[in-house]
Amino acid sequence: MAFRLLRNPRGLSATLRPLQISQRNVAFSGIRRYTASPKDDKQKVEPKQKALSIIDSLPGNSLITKTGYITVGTGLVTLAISKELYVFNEETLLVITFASIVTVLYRALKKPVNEWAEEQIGRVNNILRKAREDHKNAVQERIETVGQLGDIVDITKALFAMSKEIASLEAEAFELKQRAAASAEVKAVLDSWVRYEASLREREQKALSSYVIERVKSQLKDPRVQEDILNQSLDDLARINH
Amino acid sequence: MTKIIHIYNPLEQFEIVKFIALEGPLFGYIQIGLTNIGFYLLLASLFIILLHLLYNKEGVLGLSNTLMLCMESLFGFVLQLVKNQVGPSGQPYFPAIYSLFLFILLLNLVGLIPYSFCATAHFAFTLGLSSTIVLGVTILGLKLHGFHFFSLFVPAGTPLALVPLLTLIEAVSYVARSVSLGIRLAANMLAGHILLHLFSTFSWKFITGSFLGLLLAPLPLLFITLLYGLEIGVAFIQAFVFVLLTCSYIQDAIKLHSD
Repeated sequence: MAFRLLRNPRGLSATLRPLQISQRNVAFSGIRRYTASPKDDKQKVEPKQKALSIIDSLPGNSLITKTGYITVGTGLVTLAISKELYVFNEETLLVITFASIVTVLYRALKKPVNEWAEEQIGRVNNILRKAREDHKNAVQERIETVGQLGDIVDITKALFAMSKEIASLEAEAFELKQRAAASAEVKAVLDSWVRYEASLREREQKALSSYVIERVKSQLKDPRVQEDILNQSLDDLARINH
Repeated sequence: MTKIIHIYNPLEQFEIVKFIALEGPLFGYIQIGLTNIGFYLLLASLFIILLHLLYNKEGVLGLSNTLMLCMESLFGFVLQLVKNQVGPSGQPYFPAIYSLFLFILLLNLVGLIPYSFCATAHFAFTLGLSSTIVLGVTILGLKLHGFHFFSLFVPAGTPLALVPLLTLIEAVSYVARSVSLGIRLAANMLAGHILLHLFSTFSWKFITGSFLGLLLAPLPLLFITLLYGLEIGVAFIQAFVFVLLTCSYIQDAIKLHSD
């Protein structure tokens, strides 16, 4: 069949044409697929890069040292196995599985634990920062309060002088008050004395007048006096008539 | 034709081996030595002490903030447990409970490392620990309540006729605490380790037995890995259960019939 196809170029081209078309279709469909899902294109890692990352993950700086490490490592493992320093047995499976579970747990928990730790650290940092700010504000407020009392010495001196003056004025006022009190006392005593004297004089005058009246009344009862008065009155009347 | 499959004894991992031994015909016949269980107990104790001594000195061990936070959260977790279980009066016992938790947790986790030794899978150790705890709790109860502590053995509202029987039952139950606490821990750890070794042995035989086994090797390895994850969880849970029950016993000794 292949021979026949080779002998008949038309037949070959006729046979291959649909194949070429189908390849083009496949290519187009591939392009369409890649353009339709750009995420897949991004996620796909280049084989070269993957290989380089594996090589980079090996210890050593250059390719020679990396090769050296691998050679030495393989040699040591071979030596350990051949000399029965390490025996592959059931425990090896446990080593592999233990390393696997530790790796899995480490990879699974690393991110959430780190996030949690960052959150906790951030929270504590925020608390500390806030406390620091509060403390700073409190100290600043205190400084401002104390700053307002900067001229406290002069004010105190003035207040002291004022208090001294007030004390002396108070003393003077007290003295004056005492004097006024003493004067009032003296005035009250004198007033009472005056009142007493006045009442005494009144009483004496009353007694004197009553004595005089009594005396006059008693003398008026005397006929000689009555006669003298009558005579006197008559004389007065006679003189008036003249 | 019978095919003989040689497997290692899964209990072999629990054998106590002497690392250093001084033996001599002195005072009869004395043996002073450091066994593997003693070594791991010392190692765990020293590690915990060292870690806490250098806890605040970040620069010394290069402890990261994350590790310190993990330690703090562990501390807070045990503190919350003590507060919830024992109450505010249980605060003085917190250091002991925290140390106990870390000690058991570390021994459980160290025991999971291949080629190492699981001290908590030994009944002698766990029973000794649990008996000491129950004895200490009993002394605490007697110190706090005197002979009234024995009222713990008579549940409230018990008819008089049933008092002797219930006292006997309660006393047996109380003594059984020391056994159950230790056996629970050791049995769980022992079972887990035996299971791991059994599966690893069978898997090894399966993998090395045929080419098909080698091709299908990831399956048993995956299974053992999952089992390992389970055992790590069991290590945490058993340490938690141990201190939880210890807290419960302390609460009983402090408050007697509070519940």
